Amino acid sequence: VSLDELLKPSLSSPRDVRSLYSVRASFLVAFFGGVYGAIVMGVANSLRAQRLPRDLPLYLAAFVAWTIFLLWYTRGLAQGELPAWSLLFGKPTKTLSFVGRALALAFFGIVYTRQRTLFRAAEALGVDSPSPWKVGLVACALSLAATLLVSVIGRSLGK
Amino acid sequence: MSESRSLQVERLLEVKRHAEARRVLGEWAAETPDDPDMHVNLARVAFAEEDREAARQHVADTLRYAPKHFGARLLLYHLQYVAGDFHEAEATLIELLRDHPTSSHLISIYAQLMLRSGHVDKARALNQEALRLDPGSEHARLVQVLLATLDGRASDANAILAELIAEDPEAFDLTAHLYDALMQQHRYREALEVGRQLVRADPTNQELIETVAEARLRTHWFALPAYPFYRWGWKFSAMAWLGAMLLLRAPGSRASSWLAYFAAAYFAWVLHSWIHAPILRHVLLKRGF
Repeated sequence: VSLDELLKPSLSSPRDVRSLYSVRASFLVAFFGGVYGAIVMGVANSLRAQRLPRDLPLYLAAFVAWTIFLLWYTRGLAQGELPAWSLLFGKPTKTLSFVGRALALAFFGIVYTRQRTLFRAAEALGVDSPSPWKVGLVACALSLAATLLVSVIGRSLGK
Repeated sequence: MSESRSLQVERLLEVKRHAEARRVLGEWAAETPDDPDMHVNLARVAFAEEDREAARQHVADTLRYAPKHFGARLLLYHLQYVAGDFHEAEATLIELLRDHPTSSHLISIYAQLMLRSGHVDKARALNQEALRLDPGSEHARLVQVLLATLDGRASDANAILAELIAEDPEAFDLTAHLYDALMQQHRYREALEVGRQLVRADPTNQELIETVAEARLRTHWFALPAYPFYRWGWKFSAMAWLGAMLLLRAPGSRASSWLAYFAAAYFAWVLHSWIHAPILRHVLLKRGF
């Protein structure tokens, strides 16, 4: 890359500054908000990092995979045809809650690995992260609504 | 004359004798009140005293007398950078670089700005160019330390830092980078020793004291149970939760009475990991460390 190319401005507006929501905030949203929450938080961070097109296939794949799993599980719950492992935690709903949280954390791990350099740069240079409360609460609320909606659809398919 | 006075002010600022520097500048202003070098030095003193508004005013005065003044434009960049006005800082820096396209120092400063604003690939390319122009550039090698740290190449980062410190063992900025690198590598005890040296060199710097308190916090006996959370971060949190849930909620677990003790210990541990840092930070900053 020539120096002229490198001297083209990258920060034409304050929005071009890429500061991500903190690792802790993203982890907690995955923990409390589940897979859908982790996806919303991931999208928010990708938007801030101006790399949504690069990460979008991952978010779409996670969304489709989790929705299919949730439909299959809730349909099976309504029909009473769930596999034996669904009783791992006593009730199938408790097992689903555990699996959802574990998968959300695993998904957060994948997103973190892809954006690790940006997270580390923020840490190394003492970059202040934006307040995560608003986006975190929205992510958790959206996740709850989406999970309820998909569960209702899944149960109605099983009846 | 102007150059020797600039040097005198610079040396006084290095040893934090701001009042003395102001006295020199007062005499200078009485003789040549329109001297742009005098105004830029007033800006430097104000910047060192963290009076950014006055520093900006003096920079504006300098640029009124000498619109292309290198020192004033560079200081303007730093003022914009510390204020977080990164897009304005970039514009100032690009203007400077158009006038000094082969300045390795300026290019590496631009690399640092790009790193700070999350444009890591561009930062890497810029710093490569800075090192190509001047492989010995101290600032470019410092940015290289940061880049190596981000890539997880701890040994490369340490090697470059060791070289830099060997060349200038007294340099405060280098020691501060060493502190950051040690913290990033979770070498908290060594970071604390380096941090204490920094505080001794600048004992009134509250921001520095708060930074070094973090190293003390992580080596304090009260924080010992939280060490794995510091060392392995969210990965350890996830594994601890997974392990505890499998143990506590798996079939048959309710029948075991010892699990109640385990559950109590687990929740106490989690609670400690949340509350120990604010408590310790408060105590350390109040009582010293």
